[in-house]
Amino acid sequence: MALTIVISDRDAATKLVTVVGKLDTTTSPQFDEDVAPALSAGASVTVLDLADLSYISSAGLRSVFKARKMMESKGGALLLVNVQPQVQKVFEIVKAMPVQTVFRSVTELDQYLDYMQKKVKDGAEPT
Amino acid sequence: MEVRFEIPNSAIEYEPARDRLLEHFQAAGLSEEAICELELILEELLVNIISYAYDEPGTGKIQISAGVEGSTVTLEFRDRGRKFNPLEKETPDLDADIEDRPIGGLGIFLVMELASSVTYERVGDENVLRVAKG
Repeated sequence: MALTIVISDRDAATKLVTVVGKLDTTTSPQFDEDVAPALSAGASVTVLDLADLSYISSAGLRSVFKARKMMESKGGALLLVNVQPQVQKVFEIVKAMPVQTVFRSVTELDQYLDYMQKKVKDGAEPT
Repeated sequence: MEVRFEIPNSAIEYEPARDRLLEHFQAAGLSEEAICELELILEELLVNIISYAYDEPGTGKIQISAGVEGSTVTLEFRDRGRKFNPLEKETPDLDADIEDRPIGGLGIFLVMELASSVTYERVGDENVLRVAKG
């Protein structure tokens, strides 16, 4: 299988989507379909764990953009973690993601999510 | 080292053609990183040609050749479809917010960034696209 998607609950507000394999012309329709349930669930944050994503092409980028738009249209966010260098390079060339949505490690991601939760608790709108 | 072959313009032909070329690059001893970038170049160009060169899938041919000399790779794609220069696609405005920019030209933009040179030429009734990567 060229692409495997596993969706789990990280916590009540966060869906974790593990993406394994390649995101290209052939597999991106499957990505759209498999990730849709995570995006339409009640969670305000969807995290894509890309530790085992070895390749992305423009077709894959389109799918990630679409997912990001869907999360943002409901006031949520799509975050990326563990992006591998060869995939990171493609994101950087096209300036695909705002820097504040890409995290090198789960530790960095956790720090950000903790920060956002505190912000929400303090009554401020997450940005 | 050179490899040359022809495929029909059908979407299902992409993967076997890609695998054949990537095996060739591996056999030529190119680095993992170079092969990954070559795959990206290949996918963006070949999928584009398969989709747009001819009106009907399966009615035309695409000739592919790849050569490796040291760490320099050359690729050539030829088809007899309508005159089509993929490089004329508008460069996406990368500074615009993603919501405000069309996604279309991203593939070609990636190719231009990763390759050392990309040229298009109409020769007789053929589209000839040549790529070099150092």
